Amino acid sequence: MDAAISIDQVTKRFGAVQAVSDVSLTVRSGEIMGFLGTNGAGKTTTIKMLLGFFAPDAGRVRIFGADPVNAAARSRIGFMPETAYYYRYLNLRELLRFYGGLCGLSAASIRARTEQLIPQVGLADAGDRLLAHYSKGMLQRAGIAQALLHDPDLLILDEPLTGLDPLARIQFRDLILALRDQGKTIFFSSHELSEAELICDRVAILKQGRLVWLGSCGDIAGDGGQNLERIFLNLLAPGTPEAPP
Amino acid sequence: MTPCCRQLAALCALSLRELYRRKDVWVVFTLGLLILAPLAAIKPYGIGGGSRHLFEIAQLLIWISAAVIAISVAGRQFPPEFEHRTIYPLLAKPVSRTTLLAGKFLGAWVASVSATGCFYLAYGLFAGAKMGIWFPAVFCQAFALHVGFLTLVTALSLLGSFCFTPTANLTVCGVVVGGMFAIGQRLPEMTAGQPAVIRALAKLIYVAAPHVEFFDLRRRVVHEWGPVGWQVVAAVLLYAVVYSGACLLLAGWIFRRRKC
Amino acid sequence: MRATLQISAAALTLVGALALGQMLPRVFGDRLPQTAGTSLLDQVLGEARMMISDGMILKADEYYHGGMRVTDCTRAEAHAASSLDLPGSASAHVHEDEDEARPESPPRDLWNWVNTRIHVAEHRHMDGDQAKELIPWYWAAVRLEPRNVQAYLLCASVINHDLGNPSEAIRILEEGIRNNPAVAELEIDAGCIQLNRLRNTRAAQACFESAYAKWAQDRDAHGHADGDLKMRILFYLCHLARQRDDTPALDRYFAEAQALGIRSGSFTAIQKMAEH
Ligand SMILES: Nc1ncnc2c1ncn2[C@@H]1O[C@H](COP(=O)(O)OP(=O)(O)O)[C@@H](O)[C@H]1O
Ligand SMILES: [Mg+2]
Repeated sequence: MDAAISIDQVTKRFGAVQAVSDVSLTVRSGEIMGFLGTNGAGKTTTIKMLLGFFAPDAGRVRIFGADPVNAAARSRIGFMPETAYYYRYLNLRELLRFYGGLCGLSAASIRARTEQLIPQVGLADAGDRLLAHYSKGMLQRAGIAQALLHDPDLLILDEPLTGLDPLARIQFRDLILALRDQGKTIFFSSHELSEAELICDRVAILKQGRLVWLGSCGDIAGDGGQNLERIFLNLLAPGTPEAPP
Repeated sequence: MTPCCRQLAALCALSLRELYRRKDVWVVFTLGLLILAPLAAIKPYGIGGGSRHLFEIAQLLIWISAAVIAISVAGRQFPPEFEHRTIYPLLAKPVSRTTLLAGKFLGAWVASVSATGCFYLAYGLFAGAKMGIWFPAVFCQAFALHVGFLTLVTALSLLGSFCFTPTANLTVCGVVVGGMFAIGQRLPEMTAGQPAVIRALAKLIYVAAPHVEFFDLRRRVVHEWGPVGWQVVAAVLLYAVVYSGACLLLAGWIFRRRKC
Repeated sequence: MRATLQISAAALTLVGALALGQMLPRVFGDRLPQTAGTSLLDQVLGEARMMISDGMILKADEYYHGGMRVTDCTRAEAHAASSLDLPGSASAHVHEDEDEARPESPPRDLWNWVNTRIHVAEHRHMDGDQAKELIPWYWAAVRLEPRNVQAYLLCASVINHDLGNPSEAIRILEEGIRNNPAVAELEIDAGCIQLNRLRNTRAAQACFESAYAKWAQDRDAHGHADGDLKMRILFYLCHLARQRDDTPALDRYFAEAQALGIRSGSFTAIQKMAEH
């Protein structure tokens, strides 16, 4: 199976801060990968490089074999940013029409997609309300809708669970699993270990910009009954030596 | 429609929607009406028929509001995207930064031109009703040149928005435009008696700064002078296009290199 | 729903603005009368009031010249002439309408080439009825600063001369006199109009006599006085006295004129009238 994402010895530094150092990671097509780490571990920075916002200082990233700096390579990615904040003066339908246009979709297909997605993300009766009046969780749902708009093969979600109520989390989980069943690849960063454990096929853990753990959730269950939380604590608690991936 | 056209259309629609939802244009339009309507009704010393003062004030209001709208709309295209982080979902879409910049420019341009077009239409109807001459050639030239002005100012402000903070950009563009209106034409003569350094500096400004005074046909319109040669209009519009193009190229270069 | 609301709001504003425009003149009477005094404007603008008011007079002058300041034209036209290497180009400013089709001068630089074609670089004069375009500026000048005597004089002159409405000119001068009771010039102009246009010698006589009295008051108040002004007053008084065949008055005025010691055109005219 070909790789949806391949990250090859990537390094990124912001002035004195080494945000990402020498990370190599491959996400296989059709799998759900959780990308875990404490605040400031370098998750968002890695994701930005995956989206071609900037190039890595060293190493290279590829999305389905293409450089994401090229616009065409991004047509297969759906992205949901960390802080959901969209144009306040639009309503959800207008927002989706705008993003649909940016994806080069025709007006008819945008309309069809919109009417399908709005109920799917649970905003059926808020589609005509201005985003200025949305709550954080509603904006998060709108973010999922815009990420799915052009039916991408790969979903990159940055902290998709923050701000969602418990019901929304369950809906989100069902949505992600359904998407995987459709053959989509999902790569999402999170703090929510239990949630990640429930839905991920594989998990990567980042610590201070380094990849410190990479394994499948099946391994965890078999690994002497350890759960993800335990691994996480062992790896990331201060004073513990870094385990090799 | 090709995907690229769809992208540009979407960006354009966004800018238009923003401008008209913010209601700035309506406020300006209403303010203009509130200034002009009473003025038009006053018959000084019971002697009616004088209307050039109204035309002059109306033209002045149009120029000021169009410049303010163009500078602020263009200056608002990118900074809020960065500030509110809406730039991230935008950049993640399959759209190149060049297209993004072009679309934003086009959007700001269409927004300012449409607002200014409304002003000119209202003016043309008003002047036509007063004078019985509907949309004379010099008036059409004035609008064409005003569009050139908007093109230049939009590009300038867009470039400025990558170099300065929004308020600083507004100030810089305002000073450049206002200053060039005031002295752009006379800069060499004004500094003729100055030391060589100042003369050289003035010469540099004279050559490089945007000559917005090229686009100003107000006196011809108000005082019913004849139209300008169309080849002159074409030359001035070409100037606007070249200058804007240079600004946009520079802006694109900065934007493509920016790490988001 | 939104759109209808916005459209109706716009329509309402339009109607409101028009109504306001119609209402203002009615509220203030059709002439919006002006009175001098310490108004709010005075307190806000202070001395700047006269400067802005004078600026409006300049504006009227620009309008008279087709939107051009004559000083600017002199420069531009002299420039055009000098680049043609005409002899005596420094005095190239000719005070009459010029032909649009002036021979092309070689451009000094590209920007200048554009500017000389885009911007009007010559002037022309308004004629006849068109002068109504000047009135709003004079009107605004005295609304802003009722002590701007020059504005009253110019306004009355334009209305009398170019628009051929002497009685309205008299009304304006009267407003000026009310606001500037100490100024003799306004009454001289009013007298001239009464005399020359309205053929009302009685009213003219009253104007000139009043001007004469004000001139004397001004001299007493300040210790010195404007001799030329008095000469003008005396000229008209002489003229009227001769019309009445009032020789004693004529002689008295002539004596006063001689005492001024100014040998101007007016004096020569007075002398002629007295000798006849
Ligand atoms: N644009 C930037 N400029 C400077 N430092 C940055 C920038 N972006 C991220 N960083 C730093 O890089 C580190 C990783 O950040 P980030 O990738 O956002 O972490 P997280 O895992 O919480 O998403 C942090 O220390 C952050 O301060
Ligand atoms: Mg983050």
